[in-house]
Amino acid sequence: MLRVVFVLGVIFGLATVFAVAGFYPWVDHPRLASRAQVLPNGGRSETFVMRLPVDRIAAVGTDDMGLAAMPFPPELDLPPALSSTPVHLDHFKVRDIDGNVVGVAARHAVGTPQGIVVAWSLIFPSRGALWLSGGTTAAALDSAVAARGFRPGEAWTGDVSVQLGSDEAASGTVLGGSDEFSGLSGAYSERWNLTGVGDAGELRGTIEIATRMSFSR
Amino acid sequence: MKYFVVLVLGFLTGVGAGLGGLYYTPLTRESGFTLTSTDQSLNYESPITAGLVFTHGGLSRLPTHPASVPELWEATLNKTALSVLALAGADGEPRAVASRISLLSERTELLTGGALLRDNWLVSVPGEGSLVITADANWWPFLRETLIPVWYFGREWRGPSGYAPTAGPAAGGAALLRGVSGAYAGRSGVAAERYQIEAFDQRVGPGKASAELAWQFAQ
Repeated sequence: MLRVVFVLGVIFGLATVFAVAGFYPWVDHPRLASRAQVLPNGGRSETFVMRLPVDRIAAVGTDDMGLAAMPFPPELDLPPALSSTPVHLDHFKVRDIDGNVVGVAARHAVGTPQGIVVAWSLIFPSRGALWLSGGTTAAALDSAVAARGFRPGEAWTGDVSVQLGSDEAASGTVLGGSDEFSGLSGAYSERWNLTGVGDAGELRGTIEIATRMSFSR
Repeated sequence: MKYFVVLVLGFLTGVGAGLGGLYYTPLTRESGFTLTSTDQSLNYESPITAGLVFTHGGLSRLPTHPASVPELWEATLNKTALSVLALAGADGEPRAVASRISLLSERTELLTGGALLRDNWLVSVPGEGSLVITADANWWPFLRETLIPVWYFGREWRGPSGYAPTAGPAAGGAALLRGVSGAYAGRSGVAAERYQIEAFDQRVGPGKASAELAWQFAQ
């Protein structure tokens, strides 16, 4: 009888380990409620915000990309072999409209024969990836702040709002993404609201990504 | 009382045997997806020691760099890491830049799937355009053969060692590729990664490593 009890204990132990290994949610990213709004004509809108400079993680680019591509941290530099074409890489912590940090974003702007193209990859650990594709012009922010009195090398305080992209209505298209964003398409606008530039060229203000998306039919 | 003690001993024996089985099972050690032919193959060195930027949530002992780069300490991000890399062509010259946002995957299942990391790549080739790659990487073989014995049990590292960790999310275990802009806009395909770890350091982990990111567009 003792042998039977021992074997039962072994089976119970094995079953416990395999059940925990197979079914326990080993990874469960904290999730905040989505601030998406349902649109009257179908689809949904959601706005994401990045505060400068606190949400900037790393930025680097070529000189011709202007203020936005100032290196951060300052010691960051592109390999010389990648400096012959316009390049601007930026990385941010992403907030929802209430100011909660909900994700990480990578933004690449690179020169192509069609002009400077912008690609966003916004990653929300509990929700998936959202991909955006748009365009911009080199040093778009520089000309906007210069028109309000900014001079390179000097600190500046003011209020400038610049929507990037050639289309007034949208900066580009929503390409969908993974998990919760899979199958979505639509448009987005990318607006940089600048309130200041520091002595070393560091930007202050916010970036707003406003999306309007619906499931592709 | 005697029966209870025997039951507990049996239970502990079963737990030990189960843990041993999980540790040594071949189910989670299978080599991942590899491409037989590629449209593009780019190489990079260890993001931890040779990348442009490496930062994480502060839960790992891996060092971040540059030293002043912010950590991803927020509760919603602290299982996430960011690597910014220069990707080189076959001649060793940088050809592309990449941002890789990695997070522990909620698909992790230790019985048959392994310890999965979701890598979200944004790759840009100056003069051409950008693409995204979504890859699940099974790091259990690396954890079992290198990280756990060397970091946690202080054993000597037996390297170099190679890994093909790509394990989805596409059918067949490939990573998914999607063109975003420029010459890649509207295109899709599959991708895979391979790693060769040349040196494993007690402090910085894979201090010297080479990796290949390759992709193939659908026809």
